[in-house]
Amino acid sequence: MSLAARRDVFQAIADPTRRQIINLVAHRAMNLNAIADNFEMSRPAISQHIKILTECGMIVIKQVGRERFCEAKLDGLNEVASWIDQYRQMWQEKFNSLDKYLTKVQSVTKKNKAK
Amino acid sequence: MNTQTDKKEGLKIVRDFKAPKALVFQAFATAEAFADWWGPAGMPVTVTHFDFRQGGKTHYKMEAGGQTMWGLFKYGNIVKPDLIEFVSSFSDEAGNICKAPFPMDFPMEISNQLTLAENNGITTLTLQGHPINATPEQEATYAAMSQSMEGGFAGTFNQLDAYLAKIQ
Repeated sequence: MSLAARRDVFQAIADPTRRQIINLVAHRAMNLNAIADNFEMSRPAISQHIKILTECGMIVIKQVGRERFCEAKLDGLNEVASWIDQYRQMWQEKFNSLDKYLTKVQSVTKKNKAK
Repeated sequence: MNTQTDKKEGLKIVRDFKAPKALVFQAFATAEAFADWWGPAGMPVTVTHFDFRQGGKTHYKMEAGGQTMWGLFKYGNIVKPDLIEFVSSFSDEAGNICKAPFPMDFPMEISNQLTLAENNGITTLTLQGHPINATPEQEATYAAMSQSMEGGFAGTFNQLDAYLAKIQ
């Protein structure tokens, strides 16, 4: 393959079916048939999504007896949260500061009223 | 991890303040108040331009440790004292939008909607944001986080929360 397809967490979650698959197996490991039962898509289509998810490192396949189970591997989501976490953290800091400001302003108002 | 006053849902932050709604609104609406609390701790803010009205812009400078950063707000719909819509971004001195000073892939502009509701002297502030002119990666991240609002991804992100709490 001359043009290597992107395989990372962003590629994994860019597709709604793949997000649903991650969500399904996040709670418990499932085999392919059990996963495919949740979708109207063909089994090969689901199989293809699972293949991409394994290549993106979001799912690992474990052989148990004759069955193959898909297990979620969520460490990669740490990367996803990054800018959203940064946004939240930024605002939490601002709001801590706003909280102090509001307390300060209100105590000044009370003092003035008391005079 | 979640509390009543500090909920996490996608790009949504909910926070309670022990102050009347009008006062919380005022903290955003006047240059003097805004400069008093805005800006990271220990980083003085200089507001160089302040025009709090629909279509107006606020431009400010933050300085710390020899580093200077500029920020820009572009206001959309404003309904006193309930709603403030604004697009936030980092900028240069001339007010041109520029890349955020963060190591990660951060959207150039974020559209924010801030709503205020008062109950028994407590004002609940709800901030919701979404990236605009974002890259496919940023959109994908946002789409995944937005799923969590509908509960679809909630389980996964609860685990992510637990994971993040563990490694911090």
